[in-house]
Amino acid sequence: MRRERKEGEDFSYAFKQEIEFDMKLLKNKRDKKKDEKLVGDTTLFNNHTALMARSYQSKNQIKIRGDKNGIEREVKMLNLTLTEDMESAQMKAMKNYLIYDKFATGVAIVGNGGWD
Amino acid sequence: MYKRNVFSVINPLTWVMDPSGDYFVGNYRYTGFFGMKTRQELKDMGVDPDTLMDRSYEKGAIELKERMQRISALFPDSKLGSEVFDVYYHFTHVNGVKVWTITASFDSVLLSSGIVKPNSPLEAKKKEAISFPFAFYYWKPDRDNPFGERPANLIRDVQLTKARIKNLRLNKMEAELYPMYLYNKDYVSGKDLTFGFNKGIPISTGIDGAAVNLGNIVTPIQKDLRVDTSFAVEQDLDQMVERSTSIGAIVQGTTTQRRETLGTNQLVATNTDVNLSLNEEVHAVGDEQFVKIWFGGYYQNFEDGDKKLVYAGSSTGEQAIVLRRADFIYEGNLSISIESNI
Repeated sequence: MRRERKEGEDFSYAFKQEIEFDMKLLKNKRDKKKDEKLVGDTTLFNNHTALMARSYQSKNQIKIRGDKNGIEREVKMLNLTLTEDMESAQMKAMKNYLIYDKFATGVAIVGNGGWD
Repeated sequence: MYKRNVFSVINPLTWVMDPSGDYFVGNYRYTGFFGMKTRQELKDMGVDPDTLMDRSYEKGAIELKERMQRISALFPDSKLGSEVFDVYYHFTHVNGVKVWTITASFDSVLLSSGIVKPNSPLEAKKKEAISFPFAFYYWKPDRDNPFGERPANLIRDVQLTKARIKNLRLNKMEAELYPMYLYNKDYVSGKDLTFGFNKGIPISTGIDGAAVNLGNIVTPIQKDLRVDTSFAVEQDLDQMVERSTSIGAIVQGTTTQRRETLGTNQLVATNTDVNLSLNEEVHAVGDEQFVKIWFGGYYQNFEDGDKKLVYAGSSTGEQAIVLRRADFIYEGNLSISIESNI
């Protein structure tokens, strides 16, 4: 595990440095003391926001299909449950973070954190 | 009362990835994440937080470090000066079995570990098919970069150049506003000219009393009032961004400089949607991974005695239905379709 971790950390270091630089551009964060008189540009923020706005969908887009084995009832119930879960307030909030990350860092990672 | 999956969006900057893995297609040997546990959470896991080293900031997780510092600052009186401890989650294979571990203190303390459970009946039958409980959503996947393409890669240079042009323009404007003089320091003291926001540049011609023309002792500097062409460059840079991301002024919700007809606006929106539909297809791959772990949560945790309340819409209004495990967990493979919102 330690070997894999070191390998992964070393490999990802340069990518992460670049992303952290990009995040500063996205948030228009600057060194206030050094760049006090300078103005920034919000091109990245504008595009990021527009992409987020066009991608955000509060309604569930995922549908589960039947496989013609006479399980229509289960499929219907699965779809109902999925819609119920995906359109909950928590999931809607999560989608916002998801598409923020997707356009900011290129990838968004969702993990199943448990059952409660 | 009605339990459900708890998902979390993991900060990609805390992600430790397999260099040879392809996360877009879900084919990777291992993956890991940094996380945080509070003092109480560690106690609940049966670990004495005081035996752990305070924090072990990892490289490449600066955002997480800042967040931990902010949270720790809320608890100045705690024993170690820290209420949050960083932990590391690792998911990997051991002898063909997928396992997970949580470690702390530079991996010297094992907090917890276990075997990754199957997400469906088919995965339960075939252990190699078990997938890790993560879904990876990409914007534009790239084989050579685990993070894939991101808008910043297309826009970064333009943004830096635009900021530079804007600042140069500000400087030019300032220089035009300041009254600037050349003065002969042999005859006039600079102090006499330094009032308001005058700027004076001293020069010396050598003392030659008889030949001095009093009108030449102080001379205003001629301003550089050439036409500024940087606007054209800036517009060109904007167009580059629009072409590469398909996001123009109309799509951003701002008005263009010209008034456009309704037809033109609709055409722009439609063409943008055509371009973005590829992104939707890519997003759907992440959704498919997500559905698997969503179903996996129910498959692993939803007991026979549990109940689930869902609402079904019908022509007569919403109707509540109580579901049991057998109502919606079956032995087949999930067949998923994703409806595009574009």
